[in-house]
Amino acid sequence: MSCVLGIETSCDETAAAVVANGTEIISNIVASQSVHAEYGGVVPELASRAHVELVVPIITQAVAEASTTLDGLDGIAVTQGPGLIGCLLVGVSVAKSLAYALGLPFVGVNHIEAHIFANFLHSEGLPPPFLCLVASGGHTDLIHVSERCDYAKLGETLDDAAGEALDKAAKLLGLPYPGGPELERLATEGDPDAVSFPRPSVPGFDFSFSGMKTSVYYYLRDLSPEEVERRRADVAASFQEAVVDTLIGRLLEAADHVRVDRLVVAGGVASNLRLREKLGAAASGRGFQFSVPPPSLCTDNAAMVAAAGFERLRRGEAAALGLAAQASMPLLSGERG
Amino acid sequence: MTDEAEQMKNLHIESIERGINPTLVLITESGHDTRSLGRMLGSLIRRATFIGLTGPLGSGKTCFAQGVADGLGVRSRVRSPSYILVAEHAGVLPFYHIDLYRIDDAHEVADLGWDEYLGVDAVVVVEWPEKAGGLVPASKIDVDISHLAPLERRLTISATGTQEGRLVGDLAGLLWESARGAGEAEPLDRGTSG
Repeated sequence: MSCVLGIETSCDETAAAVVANGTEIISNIVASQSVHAEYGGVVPELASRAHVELVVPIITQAVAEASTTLDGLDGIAVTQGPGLIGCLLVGVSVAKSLAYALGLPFVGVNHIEAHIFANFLHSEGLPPPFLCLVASGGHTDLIHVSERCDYAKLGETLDDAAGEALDKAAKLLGLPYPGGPELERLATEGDPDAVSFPRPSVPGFDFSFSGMKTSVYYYLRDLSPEEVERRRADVAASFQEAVVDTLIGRLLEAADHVRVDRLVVAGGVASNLRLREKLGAAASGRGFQFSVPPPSLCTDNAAMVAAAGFERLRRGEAAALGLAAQASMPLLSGERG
Repeated sequence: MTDEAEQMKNLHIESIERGINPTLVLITESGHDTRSLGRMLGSLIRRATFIGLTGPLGSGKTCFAQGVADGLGVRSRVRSPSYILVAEHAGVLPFYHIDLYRIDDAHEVADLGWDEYLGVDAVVVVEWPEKAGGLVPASKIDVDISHLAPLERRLTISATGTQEGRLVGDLAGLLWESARGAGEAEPLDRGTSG
């Protein structure tokens, strides 16, 4: 058995996990409110200082819950980018220190690749080739995965990410940040056909959500406060529908184009139930195999980092200790960041 | 018309105020115009510059930032950095695109490595700079964008500081030239040839 410790600190979550043979999750810890409470003190909403404070306790917990010790590990994987440089540095520094002290191989993993690898961590995951939509607060990418670690990017967002659009529409509706999950809950009480928000069309397989967000602003601006209150759930449902339809539309168009019959969705937005249901129905209606990881593996976590790292280490791609975090790390070498 | 004038034909100058704090007020008719205006400003920048972009959600702050980046020769894709907070790009100068939308107070701004980004020879474009409070530098260019109609925006560009004042003055000059070239001063469009 080969145990890889995964470390993820690219943005808001501090996470560590132990994964065996790239597929079996032994432990998977994400810093949440309960962990904050356990370690005491006020935890900043974001930023590297929170990672500095949390990363060692989280790693310790991940190793303990895996019923092993640091000496029982066979390798270390860390998110190298893309992300916030100060946050990435925390994970990369800890990974290097551990690798050096324990004499273990370590590897830097691309965060988007890690999201794709969440697909290999659950029983219903699909083998390549497949087309993967990675949608989160920071990314919206359409990636053709011909085999593990072999990617072609077909499309990406030109402005806002899908999750960001949902968060910002939620903000316009007066919901607390991050509003994506709040908007999803409110949407269950509304009519998705109540308001016809634009489904912008951009060339190729790219996405654009900025105009969609602006259309919510104008729709609400022209309503009285009473009307806004009365229509909030309808606006939430209709906006969510526009985002979901856009994602599904592009994914299916691209799938026809590259002639794959397997579809995978990953990233935080993949935990949206409306997207899961509607895409599941659309995919099976058109004869596609479809898979989405459980919600806990869609949002940022370190198990997916360990899974991708295992594969990279298996291929002999261990990094030197000089490895640098990369804020705008491209998924494909040679790609514009 | 020159290419520049072609780009500018839908930009309407409301007022140009010269002096110690030069201020420009313009109306753009589309995101394309807002981007062109940013591109024009970006193409004039030669030294470290701080640009603060204020305005409500969907007003076009990222759009303007995309233009500035393009004018600076940035070739990587500039997107909204709301989620990742800071996006680093390479242009004629390093281009740091910071978005404080998700920040709750100025303490968190310091945590982002704010001083490091502002302390180097780089162009720093910040969306929602009001969240940084007193950490915003004294010498800066402020761009405030307000909604007029679904596509129309009013942009108020003002400068504080000598170098910044010169930049906005140069931008005013460039716009003035373009407006004249585009027939802004005349009721009839003189055509698109030339």
